[in-house]
Amino acid sequence: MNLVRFAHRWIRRRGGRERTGPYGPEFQAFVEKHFDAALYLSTNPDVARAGHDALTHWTKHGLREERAISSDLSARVVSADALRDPQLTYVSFGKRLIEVRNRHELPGAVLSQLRAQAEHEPLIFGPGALALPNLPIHTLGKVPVDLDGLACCFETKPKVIFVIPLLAIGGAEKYAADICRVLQDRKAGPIAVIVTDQKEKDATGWQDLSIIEPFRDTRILFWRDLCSNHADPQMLASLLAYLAPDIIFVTYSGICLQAITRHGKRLSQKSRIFCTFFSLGKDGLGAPYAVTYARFTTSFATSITDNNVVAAILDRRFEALGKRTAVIPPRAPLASREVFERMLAGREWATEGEGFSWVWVSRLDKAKGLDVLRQLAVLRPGDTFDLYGPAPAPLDQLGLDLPNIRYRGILKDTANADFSSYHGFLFTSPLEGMPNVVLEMSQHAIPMIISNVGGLPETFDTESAIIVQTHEQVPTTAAAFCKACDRLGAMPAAERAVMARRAYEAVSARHSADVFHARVCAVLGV
Amino acid sequence: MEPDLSVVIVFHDEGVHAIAALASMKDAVDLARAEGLRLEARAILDRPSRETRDLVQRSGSWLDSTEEVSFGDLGLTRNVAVEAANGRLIAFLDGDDLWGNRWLADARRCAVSMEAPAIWHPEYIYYFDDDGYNQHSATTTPNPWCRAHYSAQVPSNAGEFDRRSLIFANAWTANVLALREVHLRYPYDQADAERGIGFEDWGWNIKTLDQGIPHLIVRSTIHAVRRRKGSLSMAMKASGALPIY
Repeated sequence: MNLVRFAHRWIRRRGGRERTGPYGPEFQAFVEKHFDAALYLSTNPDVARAGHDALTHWTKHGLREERAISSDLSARVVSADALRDPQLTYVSFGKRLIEVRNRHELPGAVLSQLRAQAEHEPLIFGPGALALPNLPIHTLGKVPVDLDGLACCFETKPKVIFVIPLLAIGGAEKYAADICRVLQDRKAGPIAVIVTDQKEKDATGWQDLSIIEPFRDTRILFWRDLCSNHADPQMLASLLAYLAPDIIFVTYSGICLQAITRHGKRLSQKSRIFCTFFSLGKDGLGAPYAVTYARFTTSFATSITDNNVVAAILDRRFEALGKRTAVIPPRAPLASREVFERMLAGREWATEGEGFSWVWVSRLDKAKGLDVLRQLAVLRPGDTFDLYGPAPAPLDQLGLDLPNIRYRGILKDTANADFSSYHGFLFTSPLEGMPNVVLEMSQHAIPMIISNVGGLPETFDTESAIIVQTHEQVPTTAAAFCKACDRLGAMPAAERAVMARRAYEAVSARHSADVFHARVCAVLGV
Repeated sequence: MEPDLSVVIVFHDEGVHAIAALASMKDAVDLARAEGLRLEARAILDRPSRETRDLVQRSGSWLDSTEEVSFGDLGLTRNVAVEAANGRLIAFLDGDDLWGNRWLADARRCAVSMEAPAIWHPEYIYYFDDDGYNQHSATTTPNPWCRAHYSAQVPSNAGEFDRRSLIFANAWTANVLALREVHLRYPYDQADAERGIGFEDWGWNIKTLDQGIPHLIVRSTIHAVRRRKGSLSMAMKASGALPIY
């Protein structure tokens, strides 16, 4: 026998007996068998904080307050002559009794009362008279939420809440982060960011992503970690209603758009709500959020988009609601004129007849025109096509396994990347709002061939880029891109430089930090 | 002499369910009276359907009073009932639910055992459905698709209760017993569908708790709460209403 262990057990028992002794041996035996001191302290943090002995506290106070003694049992003091429920256990406790019940079973006296009601309402026995005692017992008000995890927001409520799906590289996330920066500059108040589609462990390293850098100075809440019932929009709506921030800014969070749809009346009482919608897709394919939710959220929220095309469509559709969509062209990180001219001077200009080296930057997604890119690569076997961006699958699974297509990985910082060895930038996406990547690439003194989608014609014209008309048929679009590549190849270097400079100036005029800042302040009213 | 307890049952559009509710209420009232309590039993009908009015008239002839109001609002209806009640304590009952017969007697005993005011709730709630027999089991084992269940209510002074949980869910049902004075001091708020405000009982629980009134449990008591299409709580949930925090 382990003497040390025996001694500890003896001391514990002896100490226990000293605390329970006055109440009799039956009570002592009961305590030794059933009282879970560790659980008592963990479920009663006030007792633990005060440094009380669990058993002493329970006998002096907890019993009277009916605090649970184990995961299965609860107990209360009753007088010695109390009517006993035959299904419960009674333990002598000095001159009185302790009534002990199993927390997972309904006491007999309660079941009897319920059964008696079946005389008035037979539906009481709907689940089955025999099954009635074995129905599950839940605890009312138990919530699937990490309340301690939300404590930072309860203690000091945020004035602004962004709700985004991911902390990742993406145009929507960047847009929200840029708006967050403006609100931080305007000292709009404590800002919280609720991330709805990602757990914290899946967002490791997000702080290194420069495009969402403003979020580093906010309180980040990962909703999927905090709420196990995160798919219920009422849970998120309840939190937003309780926090009642001045501004709720929703960017492509499906669950939050559902919450606004169902609870917008309530939420808009205390908060100004803004929902961003960047694209309506083509014929609603893929059910973009603007198609699904704008009709419902417009009554309670201001729709925000980054391009006039989407704004005009939403305004036309929902004119009867009397609310107009606000357009905030996205902010582009601008290179200084000096840096731009240096890049322009250092650029390689291939001549007609040479194989061209093209760069393509975007998420490797079918919706981004990968089919067109592939066909273009087939049409131009002498050219190389370097791809940058998140890739959900290897190139062969994306249909891009051609010898002149190369995947270069993810660009963490497009603004500081070096594209000087490329002869042109290609943007083949057929469905967009206002693609940030095109704005960013305009700062790299690189000639651009871009599809005529979304808001791009609002910033670029034929003097600042070669704009390609997209067609429903991929081969037709690919052929048009090929022709555009030929046209660029035939341009003298000086002409290409002029075009690149005009693109730089067009973006600087419309997408500078100052222009963006003023527009955000006007729309959000800060 | 002032009654010990006013028991108020609230009706709106319960129809045939009012019969069972009144019979159940009478059981509880009769038992409490047999144990020596002086009770007044009242009904208040808010914009009742014709069927509900007729059934309450016929099945509730034993009631001490029946009153009709026209608010279309449960909170305002209850406030009027509080004003009209004569008892020092008031117990509210919903017109489509049922109660264990010990509820009134035991809750009243708990209420008078404490000097400080508290709001009293039954220990257990049994939730059952109008289509309950579609979930029927002929054995001791419930069917896997059975939705009926019990909920245990936890007192606000329990270690396991967290006030912050009230942000996300109501911790207690609406059929409470409390001092009339508490109800007068903290009336129910009006629902406002246009502003998405509802669940007045949830909001009332938050309001009273934050004002220091504990919500406590009457051991070994049970209410049977009917879940039915067209009920007020279902309608509020569907409309996206939330309480006032």
